[in-house]
Amino acid sequence: MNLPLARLVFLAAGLYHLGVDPPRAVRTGMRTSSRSVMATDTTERIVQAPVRIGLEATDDEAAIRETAEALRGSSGILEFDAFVDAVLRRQRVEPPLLGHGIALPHARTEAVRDIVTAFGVARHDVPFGPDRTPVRLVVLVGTPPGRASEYLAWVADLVQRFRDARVRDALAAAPDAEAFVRVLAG
Amino acid sequence: MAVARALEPTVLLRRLLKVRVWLAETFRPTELQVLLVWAAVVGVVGALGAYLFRGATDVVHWTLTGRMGGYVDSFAHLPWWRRILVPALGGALAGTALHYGSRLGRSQRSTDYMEAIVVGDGRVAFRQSLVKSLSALFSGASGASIGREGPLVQLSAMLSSLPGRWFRFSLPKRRQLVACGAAAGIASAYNAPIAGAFFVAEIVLGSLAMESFGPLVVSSVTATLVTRAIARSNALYPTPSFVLQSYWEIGPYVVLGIVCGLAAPIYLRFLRRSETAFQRLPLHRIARLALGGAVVGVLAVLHPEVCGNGYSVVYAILHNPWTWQVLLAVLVLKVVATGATFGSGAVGGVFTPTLLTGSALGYLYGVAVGAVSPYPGFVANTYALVGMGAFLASATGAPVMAIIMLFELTLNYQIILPLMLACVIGYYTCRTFETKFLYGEALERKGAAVVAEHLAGLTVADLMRPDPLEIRVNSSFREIAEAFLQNRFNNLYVVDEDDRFVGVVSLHDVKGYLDQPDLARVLIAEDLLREDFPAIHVDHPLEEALFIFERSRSERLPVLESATTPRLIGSLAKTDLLLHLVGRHPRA
Repeated sequence: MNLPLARLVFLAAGLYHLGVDPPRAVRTGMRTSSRSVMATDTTERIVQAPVRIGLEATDDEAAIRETAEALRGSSGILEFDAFVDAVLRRQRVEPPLLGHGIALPHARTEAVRDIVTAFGVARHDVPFGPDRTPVRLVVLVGTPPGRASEYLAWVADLVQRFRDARVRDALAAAPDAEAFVRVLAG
Repeated sequence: MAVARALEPTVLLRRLLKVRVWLAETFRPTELQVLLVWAAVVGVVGALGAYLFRGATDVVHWTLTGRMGGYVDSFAHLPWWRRILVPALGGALAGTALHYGSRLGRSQRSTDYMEAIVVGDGRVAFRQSLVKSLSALFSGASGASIGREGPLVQLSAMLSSLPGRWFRFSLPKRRQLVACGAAAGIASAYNAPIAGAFFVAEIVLGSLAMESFGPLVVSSVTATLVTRAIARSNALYPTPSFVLQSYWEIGPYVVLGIVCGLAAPIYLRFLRRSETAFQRLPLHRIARLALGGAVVGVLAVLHPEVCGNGYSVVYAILHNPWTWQVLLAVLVLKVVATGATFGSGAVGGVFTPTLLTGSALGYLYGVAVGAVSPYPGFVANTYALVGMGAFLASATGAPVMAIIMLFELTLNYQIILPLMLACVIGYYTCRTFETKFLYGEALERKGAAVVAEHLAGLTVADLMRPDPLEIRVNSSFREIAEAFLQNRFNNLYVVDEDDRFVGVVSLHDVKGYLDQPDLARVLIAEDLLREDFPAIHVDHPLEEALFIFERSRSERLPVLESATTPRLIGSLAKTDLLLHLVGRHPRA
């Protein structure tokens, strides 16, 4: 006597779950599309980032300041000096060094309105941090607070691009800004 | 860059991270779900506790009477003087245990599990519970007319309060676990998993909200499974098939509901009267309990059926034909014996004695109906079955539990129609005359006003869990990844050099990048901070926390010392608050 009732309940539960599933599929679809938007975003960011070829600095702070100069007056920056100070302060906490002669000085600061990026290439080794790690490529990034996931996606994307030794060599040897951007965006 | 080098070879760690994130994303184990696991543990422990208690009772019973098995049977084989001596001696032993045991405990902590769940701090006193159980063991084993569910539930509630103490669970979680323990105790005592959960939900919590009911279900099912695995596996009171002679027979069952509803207040008042009467006697506690035992013994000389909780008598009433004169005598003597045992201060419940009273009432009523019934082959046993349920519903004030309990005790589906009706009618009838039900009294004494006051005065501090997992602003990405790997949190709280809360690192932000070792070299917590995460101060009222949870989607809030010193001192879980709210109205 109870059995048909139990079957009915299971059937109803099954139908209910079928009804619940489609929204999840929609959500997954949305996530995929937002990712592809981000890919074009990062290429766009690289193209727009200013590049300094042939840094003259002989220490890390000077190299950071020199690369930062490329961003002076850029629309993403609200207070230039405060931004550079924030980067240098962050540098003292734990200098972000990627290895293979790449430094990634960055800061999360109110002094920028948008995520900003600048590249600097030195033809000689610049010592970075307390260990005087030799650096050829400086990637300077600033982000406003509250954009952690976007910022992380950007940094992860950059790091991914630097993983290829051929790319690294080509970047270090880039004769001008256009060549640099072409290699990195490629 | 020692950090980065250390990370590189840990391929395993990265894989684990991926799995952990996938699990967290797929299943999102909330604290509520973790509580279910604890509920299962409590179920196992509760069932084992109940099993051991039952075994110990049998051993003591054998020592006192020289026989194993049913109480009535044992007493029927004893000479008259031993029928008096055994319960009296048992009462004296029970009294001695209580008397000297109460000197053992240092704490003023409540031993009442119902109090611990609803108004107390969710801790059941350990030693006092053991003392009470020991006393109940002597009473029960010596044939006192008292139910065993009291000590069984007490024991398993006490055992289930232990993990809450050891792991310093928050107040609502501790209370919930004690509730689970009580459900496990009942489920294993009566082999009734549904009723175990409903007993606690309806009688103790006064709520069927899923936050609290779910864990109860898990622990009572687990307890039943364990009990069935190690002991018996049948319905406690299997009954012959039940048939409605005609649909018109529903009429007499409705009247039976009313009869039970009218009889229950008398029964309840009699129990209370005998309690006050015994308390007035100028006797020592040990002598009082011995006297209670002796009264049962004297009655047992006339009818050994009054001994013990009454299980075998209920079984006999449901199966055998009785002459109404004998059954009436048994009923009256049994109620007196129960009053004497209960009144003398013996520890235990009155569940099975109540079942016996109800079934005897129902049978007698059935005999009366049978006298005028036009149907041949009329049996009064079915009325005993329904009367048992209706009387239980009336006396406990918990009709839902009574219906389910009866169904589970008998596993007879045909009984449902008249049973439901009679239970509800009995409950409503009883309620017009009596508002103090069985089991409700312990809580009643505390007073509803005290409950409300106690809860309203709570602040975040009362539900807070101290020492949250925290990371520093300069913690590396590797440390962040490990913290997410080792804990189930969706947000890591970040503090600065002075322990001040500055924000969180959210799993949502970093989940896609936890397996990228390169990032460990360039990122620290500060870079990923979310400063806009809501926090609450330790001295804020709980309503404030509710308000914040309502607006944010977080499962947990950081708790700060004060607005002026935002030092991180703990965290407040949404689950705890929900459970707390569930327990807010212990009885409607």
